[in-house]
Amino acid sequence: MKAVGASVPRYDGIKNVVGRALFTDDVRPAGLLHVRILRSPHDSARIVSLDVTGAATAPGVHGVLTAADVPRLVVGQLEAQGIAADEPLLALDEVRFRGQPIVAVAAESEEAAREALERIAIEYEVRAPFLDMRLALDPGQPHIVADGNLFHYEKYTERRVRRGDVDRAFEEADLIVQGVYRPTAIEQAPLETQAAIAIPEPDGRLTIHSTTQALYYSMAIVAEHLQIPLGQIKFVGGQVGGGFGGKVDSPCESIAGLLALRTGRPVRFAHTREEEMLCSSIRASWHIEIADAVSSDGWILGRRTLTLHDAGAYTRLSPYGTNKHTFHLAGAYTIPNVAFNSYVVYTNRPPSSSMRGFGVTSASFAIETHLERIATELGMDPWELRLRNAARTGDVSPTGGRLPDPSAVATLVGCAREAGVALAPAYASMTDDRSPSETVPDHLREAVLEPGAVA
Amino acid sequence: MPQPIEVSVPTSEQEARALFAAASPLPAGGATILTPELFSGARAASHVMLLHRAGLDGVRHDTDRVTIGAATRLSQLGEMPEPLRSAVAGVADREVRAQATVGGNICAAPLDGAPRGDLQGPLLALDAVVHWTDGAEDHRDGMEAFLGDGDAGEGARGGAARRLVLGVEFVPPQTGAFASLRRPHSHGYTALAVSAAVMGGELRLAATGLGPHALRLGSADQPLPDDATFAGRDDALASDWYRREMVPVLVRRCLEQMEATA
Amino acid sequence: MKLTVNGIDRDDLRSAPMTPLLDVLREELGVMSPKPGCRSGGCGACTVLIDGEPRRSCLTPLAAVDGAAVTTADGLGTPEAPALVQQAFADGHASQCGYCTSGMVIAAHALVQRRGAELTRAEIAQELSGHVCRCTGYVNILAAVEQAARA
Repeated sequence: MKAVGASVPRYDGIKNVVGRALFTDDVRPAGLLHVRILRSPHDSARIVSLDVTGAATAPGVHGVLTAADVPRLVVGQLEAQGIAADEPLLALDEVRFRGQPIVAVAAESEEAAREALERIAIEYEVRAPFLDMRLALDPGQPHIVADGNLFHYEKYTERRVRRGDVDRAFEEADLIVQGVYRPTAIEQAPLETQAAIAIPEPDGRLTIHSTTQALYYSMAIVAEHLQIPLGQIKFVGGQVGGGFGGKVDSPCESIAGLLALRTGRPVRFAHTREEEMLCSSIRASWHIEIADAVSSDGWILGRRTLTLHDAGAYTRLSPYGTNKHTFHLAGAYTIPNVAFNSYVVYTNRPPSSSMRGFGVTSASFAIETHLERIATELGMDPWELRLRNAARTGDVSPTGGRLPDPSAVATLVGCAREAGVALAPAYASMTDDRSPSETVPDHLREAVLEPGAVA
Repeated sequence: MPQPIEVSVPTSEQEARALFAAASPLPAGGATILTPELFSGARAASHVMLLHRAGLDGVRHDTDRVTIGAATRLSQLGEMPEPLRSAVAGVADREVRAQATVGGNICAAPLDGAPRGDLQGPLLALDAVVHWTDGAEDHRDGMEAFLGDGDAGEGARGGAARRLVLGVEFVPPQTGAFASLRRPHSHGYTALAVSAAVMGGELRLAATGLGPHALRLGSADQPLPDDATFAGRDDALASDWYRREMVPVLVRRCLEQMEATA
Repeated sequence: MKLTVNGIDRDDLRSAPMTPLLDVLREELGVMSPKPGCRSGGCGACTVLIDGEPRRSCLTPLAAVDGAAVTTADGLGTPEAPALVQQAFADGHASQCGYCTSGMVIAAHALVQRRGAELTRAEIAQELSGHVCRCTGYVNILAAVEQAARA
């Protein structure tokens, strides 16, 4: 326990500042080949024909990879949660987003690989793209997947949360406050682009240097694509040049690995900045509608929401992010009557995926902005509105759990103090636990503990 | 495998002219735009002429005019009148300004239809004259003619049509000003900037950011051309609507600056 | 063509003359501390000293610096004997993932050499504005450079 309570120098502090940190794309094994990718120039198209023989015979080329060469083409990131895989490593008969990889070429140099791509003959039948998720439920829109544009949570087209009697809350409300919130897509933009260097070992194993943030997770995905046991793969990583969630999907590892096995040579696949910006996964854009049933003295009696999440062209982690979003739609507040509906919508945009608290950040943005709107409409201090409705120790959340340590009041009071905001004494003295002297309003009776009870 | 690019480094203006006349290589000043474009394959060239040793750099202040050599680095410009001074200060950062040249800036080919030469606007407002050669003979064009003559970028011009820019000159204005939307350094170009200069009693206004190269604006009351001649520009940095709204605002800021310094 | 890189003469370079200095350093000479962050001059991760002046190695063709002396972050100091700014970065947690750090310390080193104790926080921010860091939020970087300037 020497480190606890002590100021310990970072183990890699000096290494970084003297330029000695070895990042993934700093590894240069002898005989390294370089990958370039033929990517879809269309948002949506059927691939009518594909002929890669010109690339395979181009100068300096050692390996060409198409969908037909991938042992298990379609692998999902949420298969362990029972969510079906839908995204091919390389496009087979259709492309669903601009920048989707179709053919990978490994050559003596990036330039040679790039020139080889020019020799690929491909014919597309371009389709009308579906780009605006708000039209997902409209008839006559192009369908991304066979049965429409929605991911299905088992038999439901949306993730639902229901609690209490939301209809009654809206009937009893003095005021209904509505708002629409649309956080846009964001590229994580790490300074180091994603890269993988795959090295075939003499004993048949495969070493992969990877920029992944999720080493064992990426390893398992590679093992699935390649259909080789985990024990045959060694991942080297950890010195990640910024990730922010953008280095979970691991777009380079399986392609570099397959080409390394195919050519018997070390293979490097590093995204250019353009690839990182245009085709790597992003934080999703969202469309969030909130209607709150509010009493004139500042209680939120009930909440209805409708959320659309832009998954882009494939599922990736979207259902998981949308679950988190939906479960957090009451925010740090106790709202006893709720009806939340959240849809995962497929569009012909690059697939969205993880980024720093994905799902929750969009909910928080919408909720906190909405609370400001309620406070304005009520003519109430927004701090008091928040503190009044804040979740307290032992309160029941919309998903039915008792909150053992919500910290909402402590956080709000602390923020007010740091911001130099003077709260009225009744609010400044609040704690996470409801004091016996507080009056619990009728609508909260079932959602809170009896004063003095233990959570 | 791809052919390597031939590179010439002339050590005098005479040598550069002779080489340009004979082989029409692609001229490069600081090569800050060309180098990454050639590397990524975004642009091809068979022969490049680097001008950093050709003696084409330097600034001359005469009584009635300022003459700037094409290969003058932005960091070498020293004291310049507005609107040029502020425009130069806003180009990228110290490291890039110490490498990028005035000639390269005014010749910078548009990127996806976006202007990259931040100095085109100020030089247009200053009614600058560009001195260039096609190899056979020398030309002196006003900025408007130089920019309007097909594509401003020498890179977009095929072999023989290339221009070797030797320098620019302008008469110092009575007063001038520059106003711009904030340009984060990592942006490839300025979303919108307005340059103003009073020359011989006449107010000249120019803007960068409205099209592939700098554009002469009309009067202070009606700066934008009519819709028939002006397509506008929508891109990731700013919408056409926002640009149209901001042009008069930036013009006003220029006028206020000039009034404040008068 | 030739270079002197971190004090070592590198004659008869094989790289083509228009090769970015960044790639001459990384791919021919194995000097990996300059990083290809954006390859368009926008991030500063590839900054090196060319004859003592900080420059973007991704924007600089080899032919333009033939014969020059180049210093990179790993030539500025060693783990045992880091340069002043490098020690300040390490002490002040001014490097998180480390990817921008190579360029950042080169630019900071040149700035401190040029301006020394006269540097203000505002001037440091202005002068390093072309260097992008996605992790630290810059506060520690500015403080570290200020500390090095005062030392």
